Amino acid sequence: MAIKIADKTRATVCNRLGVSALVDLMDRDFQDLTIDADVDRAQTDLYADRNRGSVRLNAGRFYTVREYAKHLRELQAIKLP
Amino acid sequence: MTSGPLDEDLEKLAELASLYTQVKALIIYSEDIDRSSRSNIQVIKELRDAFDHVMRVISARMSGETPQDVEASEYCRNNLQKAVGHVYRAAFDALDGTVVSLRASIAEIVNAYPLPVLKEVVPEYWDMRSDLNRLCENISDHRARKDVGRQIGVTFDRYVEDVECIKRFHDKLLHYGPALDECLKRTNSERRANSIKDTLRLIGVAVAGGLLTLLVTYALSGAK
Repeated sequence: MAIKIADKTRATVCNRLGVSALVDLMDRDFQDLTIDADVDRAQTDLYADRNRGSVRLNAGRFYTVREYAKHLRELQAIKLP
Repeated sequence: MTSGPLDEDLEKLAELASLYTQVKALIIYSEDIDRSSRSNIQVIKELRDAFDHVMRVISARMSGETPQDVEASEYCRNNLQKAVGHVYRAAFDALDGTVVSLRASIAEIVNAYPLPVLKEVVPEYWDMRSDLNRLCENISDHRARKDVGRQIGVTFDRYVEDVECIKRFHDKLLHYGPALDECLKRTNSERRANSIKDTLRLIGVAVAGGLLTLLVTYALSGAK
């Protein structure tokens, strides 16, 4: 089923993102994920009840970039006999 | 067969689908063996970006429009190549996770046994440990793989092979579990037996020493 973004929403988004039409955004990349621009776990918790997406993500069963880097460091530090 | 707007991209799309089928399996495996059953957000992000590039192609082909000054074929080819790159990066991140999970599990197993027991039951342990350390060091360099070049397929296959090798070692350790337990039990009972022997020997030496002292004392007192 096709959806149609309301004109007002379309205008708000285009205005905010500095484009004249939504199609102009097709070539824009999503925000990168780095240690400095990481996922905010508090935000995912806040929206978990309203989120209709992944149960795994809603339940917090994921590593943020920072957490994963720490996880890797800890596991790499394990010395084998 | 009728022609469609994506005809020109079918070969590349088939290649992407084939790669994705394999990578998806690696990602699911990586999530499955993670010790806290967690997903890596970087993997999800790479798949999101791959999807974005595929949608750019579909959108361009359906609407017949591409960004200014870019020819449609070139635009679609570039975007599908970028999608392939993101799927590869998702795979590398998943494989990194697999290596660390396997390493943690291997460490847990081998730390439960003394070295002589490991040496007896798993003679190839040291070779495997050296491979495992090398792979874990490689993980630190995974950022270097961000630029997906023409050799990426070869690098990827080699990495999968290495991970397979660690997985076989992990499976072998699990398989050797009963033998390791048996060997540990035997070593412990031998150590206990030796310990009893040593104690008896010490007692014997002490008693002999005591008797000798007594005899010497007696002899000396008799001489007086």
